[in-house]
Order: sequence, then C-alpha cells, then structure tokens
Amino acid sequence: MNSDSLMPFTKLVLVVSAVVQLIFGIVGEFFTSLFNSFFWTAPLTAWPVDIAQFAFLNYLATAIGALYALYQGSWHGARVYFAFALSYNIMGLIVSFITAANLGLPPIHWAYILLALIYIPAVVYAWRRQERQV
Amino acid sequence: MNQHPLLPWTKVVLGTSAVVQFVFGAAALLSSSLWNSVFMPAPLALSQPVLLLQFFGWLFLTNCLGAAYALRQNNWIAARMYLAIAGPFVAGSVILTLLAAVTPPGIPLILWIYILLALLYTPQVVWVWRKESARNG
Repeated sequence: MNSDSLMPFTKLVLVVSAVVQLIFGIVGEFFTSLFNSFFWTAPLTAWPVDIAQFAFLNYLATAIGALYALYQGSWHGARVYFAFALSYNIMGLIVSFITAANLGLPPIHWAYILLALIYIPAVVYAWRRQERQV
Repeated sequence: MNQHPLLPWTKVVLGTSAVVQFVFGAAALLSSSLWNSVFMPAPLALSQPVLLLQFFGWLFLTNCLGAAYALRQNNWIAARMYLAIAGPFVAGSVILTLLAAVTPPGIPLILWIYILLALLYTPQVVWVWRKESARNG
C-alpha cells in the first residue's frame, strides 16, 4: 500500500460523510418544506427558502468534495476535506449545546448530536492512523 | 504523481477564497443586523433566527479553514480537493442567484456584485485546474 493511499476505514468515513451530506443537501435544497417539518422542527425557526437554497448548496458541494476525496484516494487530498468536516462538526456541536441550554432542541436534533459524537472520534481516529502511515 | 509546489496564481485563488469566506462567516456570526442589511438585504427573506446564522457562519468559516489548510499544504492534490468544493458551490450559487433574479421580487443590488465576483472567480478555478493538472500529471 502506498503511504499516501486511503485506508479502508478512512474510505468508510468519507462514504458516510458524502451520504449524510447528500441527504441533507438534497432535502434542504429541493424539499425545504420537508426539511423544516422533519429535519429542523420547533422550537427552531424554519429556514427561509431562499436562504436554505444557498446554505444547502454548500452541503451538496461538500458532498462532491467527499466523493472527490474518495476518488482521488490520496490522504493529502482527503485531509483537506476532513479539516473542514471536523471543524464544522465541532462547531455545530457547540452551537447545538448552546441552543439546547437557551431555547431547547427538537428530539431529532439530539440524534444529530449523537451522530456528530460518533463522527468526530471516527475522523480523529482515521486522521491519526493515516498520519502514522505517511 | 509529482508534488510540485503550487503556482503563485493558484495560491492567489486559494487566498482569495479563504479571505472572502472569512468575511462572510465573520459577518454572519458577529452581526445579524449587518448580515441582513448589507450582505443579504431585502427583498430577500431575513436570515433568522440567530441559530440559523450561526450554522451559516460556521459553514463559511470552516470552508475558509479548508482553503487555508490547502494553501498551507502547498500541493496540487490538496488544493484541488478544496477547489472541487468551491468551484461547484460558486457555479451553483450563480445559477440560484440568477433564478432568484428573474423571480419576483428579484434580488438586491449587492447580489449582482456577488454574481460579478463569481463570474470572475469560476474561470480562475478552471484556469488553475488546467494549468496545475498539466503540470502535475
């Protein structure tokens, strides 16, 4: 195995990243009312459609990024994606906890928090394993 | 693949990407009134509540971090990873903005400036992609 090539676990993390972002991106971009009624419910305020379109376009672009990292098969490329994904998930967690303390969160948002709490250590683990290989 | 350092123009494109996203991210996070009055003014719907703007802002800031990290790595494999995200996002944003422009009530003046910037940015991404790909094999 080339020292820059991706390990199977790293590939799995990238696939999960791409799938999750594709789901959020497609629903937020093209089915905003579904997003507001299922993925982002009260007590959170609904996303305005025009703002949602710009925000979720970014999710679609980062899903493309995850797939491209997988296609490249290079750790030098994949870690740029992970630098974004890791920091975004950590910040998302912090913002979610602050909101939970002030406004409260819908049950589904706690599921997102759980997923992030699984995802973040998985990225850290993949990062450390890959760095040891380089 | 050979690992040449990035061309100066590629660095400029990455640097510009990082700075622009930092400005948008910081504005979204620091002042919702500034965001809603200058960056995304009427007739666009207000970007609220604050939680929504925080997610939006962090999205920009972490993308900024991605651009800065690609710049720091200074190789094409890393840079094209970032550009594979930024290119489709900017091109898609232009399409969305033009669709919004032709749909009543239209778009504010500043969005036309974003379109102009995006129309300058996208060919730069294509240009550096072609130059760096030819160079790095």
